[in-house]
Amino acid sequence: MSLSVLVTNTKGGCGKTTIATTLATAFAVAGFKTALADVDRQRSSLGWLATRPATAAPITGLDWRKAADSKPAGTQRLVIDVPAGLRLGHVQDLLKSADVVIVPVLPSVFDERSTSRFLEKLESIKPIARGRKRVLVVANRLRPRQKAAQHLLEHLAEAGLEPTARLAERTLYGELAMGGLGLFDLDQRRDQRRAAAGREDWLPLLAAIERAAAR
Amino acid sequence: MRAPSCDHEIELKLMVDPADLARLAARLGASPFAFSAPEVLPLESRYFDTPDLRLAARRVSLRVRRSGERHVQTIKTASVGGAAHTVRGEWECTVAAMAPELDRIGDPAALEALGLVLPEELAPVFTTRVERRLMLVEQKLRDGSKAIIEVAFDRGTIEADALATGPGAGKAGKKARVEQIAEVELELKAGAPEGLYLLLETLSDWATLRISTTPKAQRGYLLATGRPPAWQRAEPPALDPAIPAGTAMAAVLASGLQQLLQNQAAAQDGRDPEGVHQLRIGLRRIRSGLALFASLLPVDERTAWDERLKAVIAATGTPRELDVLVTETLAEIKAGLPDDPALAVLTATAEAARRRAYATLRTYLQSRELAGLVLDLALWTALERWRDDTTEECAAAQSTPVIELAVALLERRHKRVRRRGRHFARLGDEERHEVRLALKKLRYGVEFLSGLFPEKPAKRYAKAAARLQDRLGRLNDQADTRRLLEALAGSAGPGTDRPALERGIGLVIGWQAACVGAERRLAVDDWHDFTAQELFWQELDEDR
Repeated sequence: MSLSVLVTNTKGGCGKTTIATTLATAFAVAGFKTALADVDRQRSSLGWLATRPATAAPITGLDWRKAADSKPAGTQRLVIDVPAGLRLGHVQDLLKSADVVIVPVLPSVFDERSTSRFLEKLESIKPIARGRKRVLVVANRLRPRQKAAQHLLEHLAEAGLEPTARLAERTLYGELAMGGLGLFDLDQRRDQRRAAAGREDWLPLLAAIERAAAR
Repeated sequence: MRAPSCDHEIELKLMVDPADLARLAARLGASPFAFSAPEVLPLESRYFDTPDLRLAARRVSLRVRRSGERHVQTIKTASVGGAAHTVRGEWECTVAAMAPELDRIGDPAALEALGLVLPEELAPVFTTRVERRLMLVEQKLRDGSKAIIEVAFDRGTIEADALATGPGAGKAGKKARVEQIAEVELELKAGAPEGLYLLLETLSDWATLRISTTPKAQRGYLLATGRPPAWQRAEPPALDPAIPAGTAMAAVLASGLQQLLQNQAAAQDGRDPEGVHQLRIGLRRIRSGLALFASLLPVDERTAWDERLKAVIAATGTPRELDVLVTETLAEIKAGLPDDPALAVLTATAEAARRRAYATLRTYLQSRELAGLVLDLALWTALERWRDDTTEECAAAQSTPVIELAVALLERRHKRVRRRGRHFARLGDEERHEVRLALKKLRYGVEFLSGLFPEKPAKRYAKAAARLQDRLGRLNDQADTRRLLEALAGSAGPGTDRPALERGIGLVIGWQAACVGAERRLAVDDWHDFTAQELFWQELDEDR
C-alpha cells in the first residue's frame, strides 16, 4: 500500500515546493521508501533533489511534467509537487493518484481570495465532495504579531477552513534547501534546538496525513 | 489452514478462572506433552501511541516489554484470517530501555503498519504486568507430524496511564483504571494450526475455558480511553470454486464464529447496540451455514448443533428487540413528536427493560453454555470433526466441488422465493411472511457463495434481494413490536404512569399502522426490481 500526497495551489510562491520537499524528508528519514514527483516546468523539486547529498535518506525523483507516469514498485510514500497555473482539469487528473491534497496559503489578502476560489473548485470535484479525499489547508510563512497573519487565520476560520497546520516563517528552510536537505534531515541530537521548533509546526500536518491514510 | 511464517504470530487465547490457572499450568507441566520445565517470568509491557491514537485507529500496537534486564520492542497488527485463533503480523527487536526506538524498525511492512510516527509524538497509554508461566509443548498431529506450541499462563493486571486526550477520557478517569488478567495463550511455534486445537481439546477437559480474540492491547485501550469496544462486521469467507464442499462449509462456519468472538466484548459492554446485533448475526450465519450445507451432515448431527444455536440466539434476543425499539422505532417517532410526555414514559419504561435485559445478557455471555458451544464449534470446525462418523452419502457430498453445490443451491432457493412470491401485489400478510423466510435463506446462500461467481452481477442481485428483505422485514416488525410493547406494559414498575404508558404504546402502534400502506406499495416495487435481476450463477454456466 502506498500513500500519495498532492501539494498544490493556483498561485505561485506560496511555499509549495518547500512543503513538498519537507514532507518527503519526513517520510524518507522515518525509513519509508519515498518518491517525489515534480509536475513543475521549472523542476524546482527535482532541482532540490539533484543537490541532495548521497548520505541523506534516499528520495526517488520522478519527472511527471509530461505525464503522471508510474512510480517505482514498493513506493510507500509519494509526494506530488503541482505548480501554480495548472489547468484544473490537469489537477483533477493528478488527483486520481492522490490520497490527500495539501493547499498552502500565505498571509496576504490577494492570496486568500485566489485560494478560496481554488478551494471552492476543488470541493466541487467528485472524490473530494464525497469526502473520499481530504483537503488540508496549511497557513504558511506566518510571522509573529503580523497583522496579515491574524487576518488570514480569521478569514480561513470564517470560511470553515481551519488550517491543519501553521508553519512559521523560518530562514532555516532556505538554508537547508540549498544543500538539498529538509527539516527532518536535521539530526535531533546534534541540532536539537533548531530542529525541535520546526518539527512542532509540522506535527499536526503529518498526523492529519497519516490519519487520512488510516481511514 | 495457513502455514506459519516468520513474522506472523498464530495464537489461540483462552480466558480462565483465576483459581484454575495455576492448577491448569501444573497439570500441563506434569503431562507427557510438556518438554521444557515451566519457566516463571515477571513481564512488564508498556504500550505507546500518539496523542490522536493513530496506532489504535490503524489497528496496530506498539509496546516495549521488560523481562529481567532485557527490553523487547514489539509491533503487532490486527488479525487477518484465522478463526477462533488469530493470525497477526509481529515484528520484534531488542531496545535499550522501556521506550520505543522507531529507528530500529527495518521491515517496510512493519513501517507501513505503523505509518509515519515521530518519536516525540509517542507516550505510554497503558501498562500490563503479568507473572507468566511459560512452557513448550509438543503436540502430535493426526498425520503423525508434530507441532511445537508455547503455552503461557498469564496472571496480572492492565493499568491505564494518564491520558489527556480522546472523548470519554474524563469519564474513564472516574472508573477503575485497573483490570485483572487471567488467561492462557497457545502460540504456534512450528507445525500446523491444527496443533493448537488438539491441545485446546486436551485443556478443555481440565477446566472451563473461554475462547477470546481480544488482545491485551485492545483491553488496555478500552480501559485507557473509556470508549466502548469496537464491533465488527463479518468478513465474507474467501472460497475457491474448486475446493470440496466440506472445506467451504468449514470456512463459512469459521467466519461466523469469528464474527461471534469479535463482537463478544462490544455485546458485553452494551453501550453500542451494534455489539449484540453483530454477535447475533454471527450466530445466525453459523446456523444458516449449517442449513445451507445440510446435505453434508447426518440429520442428527445437524439437528444437535441447530438446537444449541437456537437456544443461544433466543437467549440474546430480548436486548436486541429493545435496542431496536429504543434506538430506531421510538427515535423515529420522537422526531415527529419531540416533547410528547406519553412517549417519554414509554421510552423510560423501555430503557429500564433494556437495562435489565442487558444485565441478564452479561451473565449469559459469561455462561458455560455459550463458552461450551463456542469451544465445541471451534474444535469441530477446525479439526474437521464433521468428517468422522458420517454416512457414505454425506461423505460424497463433502468432497463434491463447492461450485456444483452452489449453482444447484442458489437455483433452488431462488425458485422457491419466486414461487412463494407469485402475484406478489395480491399476497396477504401470512403469504408475504413466507416469501420473507424463503428470501432470508436465499440471502445467506448468496452471501456465502457469491464470491465464487462474477462480482458485478452477484453484487447487483445481492443488493436487490437485501432491499426487498429489509422491506419485508419492516412489515413483519410491526407484529413483533406489538408483542414486545405488550410485554413492556406487563413489566412496568409500580411507579409508572400507566395511562401515559398505554397512550405511548398506542402512539407506536398507530404510527406503524400508518406506515404499512406505503411500505406495502414500496415492497411491490422492490419485488419487481428483484425479479428483474440477472441470475448470476447461470452466467458462469454459459461461460464454461
